[in-house]
Amino acid sequence: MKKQAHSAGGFSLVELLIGTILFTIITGIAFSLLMSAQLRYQGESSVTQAFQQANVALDQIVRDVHSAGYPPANSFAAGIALNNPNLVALPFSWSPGYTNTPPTPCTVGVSCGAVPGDYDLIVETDLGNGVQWIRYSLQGTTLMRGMVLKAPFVDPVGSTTGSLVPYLDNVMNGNSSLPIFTYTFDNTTPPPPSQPSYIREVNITLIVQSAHPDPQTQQYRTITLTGQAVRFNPNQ
Amino acid sequence: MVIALFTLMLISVVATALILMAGTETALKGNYKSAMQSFYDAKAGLEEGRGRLWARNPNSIASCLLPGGGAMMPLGQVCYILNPSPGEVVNPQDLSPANPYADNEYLAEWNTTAIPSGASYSTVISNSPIASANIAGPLYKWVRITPRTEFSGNIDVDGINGIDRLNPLFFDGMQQLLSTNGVPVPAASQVLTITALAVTPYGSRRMVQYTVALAGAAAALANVPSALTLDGSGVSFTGPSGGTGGRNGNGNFQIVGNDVNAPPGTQSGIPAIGYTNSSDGPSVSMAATPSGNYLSPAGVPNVGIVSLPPILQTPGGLQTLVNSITQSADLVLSPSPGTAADQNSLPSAMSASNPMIVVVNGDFNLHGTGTGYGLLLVTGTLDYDPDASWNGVILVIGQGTFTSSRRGVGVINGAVLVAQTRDASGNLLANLGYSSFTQTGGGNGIQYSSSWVKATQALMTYQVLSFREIPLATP
Repeated sequence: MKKQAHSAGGFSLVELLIGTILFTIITGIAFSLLMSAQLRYQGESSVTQAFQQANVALDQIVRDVHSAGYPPANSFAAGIALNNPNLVALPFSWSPGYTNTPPTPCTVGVSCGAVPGDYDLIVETDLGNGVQWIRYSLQGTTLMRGMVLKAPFVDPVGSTTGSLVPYLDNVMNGNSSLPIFTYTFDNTTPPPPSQPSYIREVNITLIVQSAHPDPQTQQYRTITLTGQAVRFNPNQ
Repeated sequence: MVIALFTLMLISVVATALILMAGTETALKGNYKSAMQSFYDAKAGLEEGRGRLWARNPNSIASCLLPGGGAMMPLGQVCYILNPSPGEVVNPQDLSPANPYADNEYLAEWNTTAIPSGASYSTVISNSPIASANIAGPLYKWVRITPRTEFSGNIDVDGINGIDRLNPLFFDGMQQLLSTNGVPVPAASQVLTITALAVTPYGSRRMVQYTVALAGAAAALANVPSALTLDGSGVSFTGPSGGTGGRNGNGNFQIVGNDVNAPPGTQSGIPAIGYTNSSDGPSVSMAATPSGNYLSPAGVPNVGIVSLPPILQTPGGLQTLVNSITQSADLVLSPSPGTAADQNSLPSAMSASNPMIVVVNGDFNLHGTGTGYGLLLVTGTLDYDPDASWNGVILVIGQGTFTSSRRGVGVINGAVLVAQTRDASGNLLANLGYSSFTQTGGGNGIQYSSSWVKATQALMTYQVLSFREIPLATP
């Protein structure tokens, strides 16, 4: 009789207990894996988004520098450029001394002040609607960008300040004391002075922090992008 | 079984998430790479166009620019270099929306509804792929070359009468000038626009544009003012004290402005010695004795004041000239300070049929008994042993010192210009300094040759006046 009852089917209490425990353990492991993957995904998404935004910003800076100095003074008859400086694009603006006639060049890193500097750059180029000042300026942890039409005999720094709008967030170069912009000058014999007009390459380094901390480590993650932009327009 | 399925499902979810993340990152980097590739592909197209404009290029596109001959690319003429991938059709003239390579930029630049056709539309095939080596070229699709006008460049070059659309622009080495009534501007070369479109297989599109003209030296050489030109103020000239007449022996020094290439029976030429500041006239004339050593055609002064194009009038202009010549140079020598390069450094391939541009950033000794051909530019002191000869043009721009104290039988066929633009420390002067030409030993001097001057002019390549990228919307 006992044998018949046992063979009639079903699990014993012990079997059910073992099965339940195993199911719970495996399910727990699976869910913890899923949770871990989800957190990893969130963290990576945040980094990827920061990477994408930084990439777009880097690409735009490179494009602007490529066309810096268009149109140059040689595009005009003599005298036109001197009397109408707003028609001509110097490759890069500076301050102070820019409003003099002709502008008094400064030395980058010495007498140029902040522009062009480690965290501030003004490109001059014509994108189709006249020569514009295109300024990139790091303010806190936000890289700002602004565009205004170049005006004659006015200071480019003051003129562009009001046009700056946030362009890239969470830029940590300031905190790291690592310049966004460094400059390489023309390679001629004898070497030219380190003046904005002789900047040939702008080396760009962007340290960007993710918008959200990593859910697992609770630490903000940073990525570093570097780029090199060559000015193709000739010296003036 | 249920547990296994559930676990498998979870693993699949995790794997899918990982693949998605990796795919997104790869796509981001791929997009950036593709965008950069298309930019440099387009830039390569510009360079092919610029290189093939040069008359001495073995694949010159002169016939594409000027199918009917002539010296100036007429307005309305358009030349394309096409670069289709295998099995692909690239037709920029087809402006239908379905054509990814339509040249809609032309319409904007020329305010028209169609790209010219018939004789005004010429195409050549790109030579960038190396078919014999099965090497594919850059992925630009077409390069377009057109004349440039104020309208096409959207620039009021002369600042008067608004934007002109009827007259091509010219470049004199310093500035662009608007021609009038379609007549070329003297001593200037035509400005051309080169536009290139690149499209990568991933769909990235970039369009870039050069403005080009023959290097400033070409314009400057178009009208050489004298066989020997002393540029500046307070210039000094010293010639041998004897040796009149004859040109075949030591001491038979002459500077001759008569063009050795003038048609038989005719006489043409320029002054033997030209100076640019009238106050230097008496001293140069007094030094240019005996007068029989300095000859010019009838009606042309043997020694006289000459006018120079703007690029030759200032240290800045001359430095621009030096820079543009350096860009076109076959050889640039930079001897260490205190030392001089010499004729042994000249390229062995230099010959009468293959003249070259040699730039010496420093001192140069043109000694020996050989002959050089082309353009020699020396920024330091040029020391000339007149046993050597040079066929072409010699420019001594920088320290502006030409010295020669030996005797010899060599001759300079062409022209010489001396200008001081830098002080002894190498700083650019505010005004031209005291250029100096001293040849006391003899030799056969300088013989003006229009043919050699023209041959030198032809060595100049097209220089980039400006560059811009044209914003494009990705279709």
